[in-house]
Amino acid sequence: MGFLPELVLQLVNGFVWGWILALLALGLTLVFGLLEVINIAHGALYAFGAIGTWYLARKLGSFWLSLLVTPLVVGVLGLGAYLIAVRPVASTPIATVIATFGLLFIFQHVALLIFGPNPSSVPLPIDVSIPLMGRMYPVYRLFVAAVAMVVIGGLWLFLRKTNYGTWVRATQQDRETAVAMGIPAAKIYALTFGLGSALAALGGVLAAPITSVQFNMGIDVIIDIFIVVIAGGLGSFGGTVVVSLFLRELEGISAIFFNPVLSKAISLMAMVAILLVRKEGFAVKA
Amino acid sequence: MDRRWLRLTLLVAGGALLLLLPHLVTKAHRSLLTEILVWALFAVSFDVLYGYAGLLSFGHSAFFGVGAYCLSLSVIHWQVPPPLAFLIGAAGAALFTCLVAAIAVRLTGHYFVVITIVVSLVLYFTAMGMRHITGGDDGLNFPRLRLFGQYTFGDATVRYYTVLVVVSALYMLTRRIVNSPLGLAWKAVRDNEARARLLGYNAERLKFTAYVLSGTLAGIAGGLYALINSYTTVEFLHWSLSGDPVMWTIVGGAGTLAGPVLGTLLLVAAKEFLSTILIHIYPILVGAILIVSITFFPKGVVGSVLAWRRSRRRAAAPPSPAAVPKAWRGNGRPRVDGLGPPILEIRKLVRAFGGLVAVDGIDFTVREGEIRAVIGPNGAGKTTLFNLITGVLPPTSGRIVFRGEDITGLPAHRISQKGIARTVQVTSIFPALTVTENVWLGVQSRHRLQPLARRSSLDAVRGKVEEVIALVGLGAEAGTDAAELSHGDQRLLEIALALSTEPRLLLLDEPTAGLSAKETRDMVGVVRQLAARQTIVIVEHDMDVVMELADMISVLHMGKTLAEGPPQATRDNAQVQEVYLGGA
Repeated sequence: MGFLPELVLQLVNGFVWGWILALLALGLTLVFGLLEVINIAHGALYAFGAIGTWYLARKLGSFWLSLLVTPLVVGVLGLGAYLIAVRPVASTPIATVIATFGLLFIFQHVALLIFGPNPSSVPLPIDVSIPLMGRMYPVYRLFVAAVAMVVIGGLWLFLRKTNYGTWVRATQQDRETAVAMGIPAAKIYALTFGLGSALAALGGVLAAPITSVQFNMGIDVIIDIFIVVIAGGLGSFGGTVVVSLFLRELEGISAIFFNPVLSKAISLMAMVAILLVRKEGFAVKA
Repeated sequence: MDRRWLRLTLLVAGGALLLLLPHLVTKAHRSLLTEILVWALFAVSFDVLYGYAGLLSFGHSAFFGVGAYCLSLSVIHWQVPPPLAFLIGAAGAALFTCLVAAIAVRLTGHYFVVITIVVSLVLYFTAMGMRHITGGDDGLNFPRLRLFGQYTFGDATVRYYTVLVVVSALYMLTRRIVNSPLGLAWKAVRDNEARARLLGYNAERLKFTAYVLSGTLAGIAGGLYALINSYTTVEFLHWSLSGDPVMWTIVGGAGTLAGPVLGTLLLVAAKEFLSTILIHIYPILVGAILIVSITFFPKGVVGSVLAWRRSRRRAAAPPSPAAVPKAWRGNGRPRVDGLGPPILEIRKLVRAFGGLVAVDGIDFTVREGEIRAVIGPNGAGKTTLFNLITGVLPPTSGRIVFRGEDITGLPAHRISQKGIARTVQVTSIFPALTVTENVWLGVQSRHRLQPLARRSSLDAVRGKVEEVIALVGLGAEAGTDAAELSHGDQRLLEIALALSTEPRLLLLDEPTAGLSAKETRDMVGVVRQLAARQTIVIVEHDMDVVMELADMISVLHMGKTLAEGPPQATRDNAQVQEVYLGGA
């Protein structure tokens, strides 16, 4: 394969995975921005999304059902987990991290019980390919990017234009004043945690047909999520999206020249360098 | 005496049990005990950072793994004897921790937690990629090593005693360090970093030292683990291993050294016996235990027991006499015979926030031995003036001269070292430390922090601490946690903290705010007594207090000095009355 087709392929792949990563990272950063809780179990919710899809695709043969149902179910699960484990310790930030770590432990082993230790795959729901620089490229991947972009765009509008969104931003800026003005902060916290969980699960659903589904697939992705949210600025919407795309493109381009492990290390080091120069990350105002 | 004998007996019995234990159990359990000791050291290493310095690390597996690899690689490639390999493992972990700590201590809060995870994962992936060196997840094996003579690590008893000696020695060393002046300074950063900085502590450097000790101990634990099992794998570096010491420490009790050891013993033993019955459910159970523990017993087993014992002892003790300041017996402060030379001279001081000029050309001179009250309506610029004097804010223009030296624009900790101390309106103390420890932090902030000194042997510091506590009348509460003091006593402790750095000039910002009538009386007594020792500038809204205490009053209004003079003259000043009573 020539250099140019290889480059285009990597760029398109980086674009697709960048939007999936943006979905996951937005889920985490949304929760952090509002509740100041780092959800360590976030990666496990991504795994739940993929495992749910595997289950529904195998049992009922329908990926599309999973696209609708799984994020909803995992969102409710996340909301329940928040009420049981996180909210009681919300006054101590460091304790919330530890509580979500306990959740990770539970989630991961539940995933192991349901799914078993061996990797599995989900068939492509759109079995069509289009030519791209002399190769066939699966349309489903482009569909994934489109869905992620629509959801992220919708989320942005939702936070800007709806009552709930205004409440979220108001509570984020000053909780006490928000409560004094009658904004139901406690309810908003719980719903936002659920929303963040649903976003992680949606990422898992979309990724399931193009990656290998594993019970512990959340561990590998959480490192990227963490790097994106700190480099993008914890709680920043725009920064998260930009850095997600940047990280995946950087990985894709360096994969042309180096082996995958090395290209991973290069992109990670670039992120750590950014972090050292700018402690608060890019923090693009959104 | 009873208590001391009981403690000694327990210690001897515990030591004897640890020594005899391998002969009382089966061979398999002997190995389990050895591992528990190693894991306990790992948990202690985590607790040094989390429980004492307040930094949550989810990446301690990195240090554990680096220690294990340094030891194993030096054994495999250089054939060094075990003691030397052990030292190489510890040194490697220490160096690596220095590197990580230099980056991580610059980050705070959640950023810190995330960076610890990222570092350990980056290391894991790198090691996985360098299979030819690290052996990947298959790991590296090496033959059982010979300790000396006929004793080899193939013998479970040799392993047990080697580990017991190393772990107990390190436990004692760590105990010594966390109870030293250095350990106390760590707790100060954990409890109230901003206040620690105001006392002159370098928070980054303190976090760095705690991190390095913690990482080195974790590396030694990793080295021991590799030594007793004769192998090392990349899995040691994996993030999931970092979760174990977090769990053991939280359940056992963070911020104590017995806590992580007990937590390790309980959870590792439970895993050994329960996981055969509940093999699939056990990990889920562990997650639930962690959540229940952090929710309902945030102090862990040991912390909860200690708190319970203390509350029982307090209930049994007779109620302490009302906190009458020791000094509040005489009929007022010994008047200085006339006032001394100027100590603080402020010339044409201006501070603007954008278009708002909060301080607009204030001039005033405070003389040694004086109590100066600064009053004025809200927004007059009183607190801004304090912030300028203490270097919290740089002035826009003008000069501040302290004892003949121009201190305009110096940073806060330098001005603190020159001898100006202040209290703030919102009480800022170290809530989880006792009154003595709080004051101790202030006194020792002017000394070098010795990591191995016993605090009880530092007589000079102790004497000063007791003097300051007596001065503000908190003697009866010396052993109480600051968080449990009444509001009035907390304000007194705040003043004691300011005093403990031996300032020449003390700035008090509304010391009686929110106090009851009686507490206000106590506070007035204390301030009066302090005036015999140093010059005081006080911002206060309570006019009775001002009239009673002040030698001179400065009235600020809209950032300017409206009037200045003795209390009576100021009260009769028509302009002042207008500002306070009528529209200005």
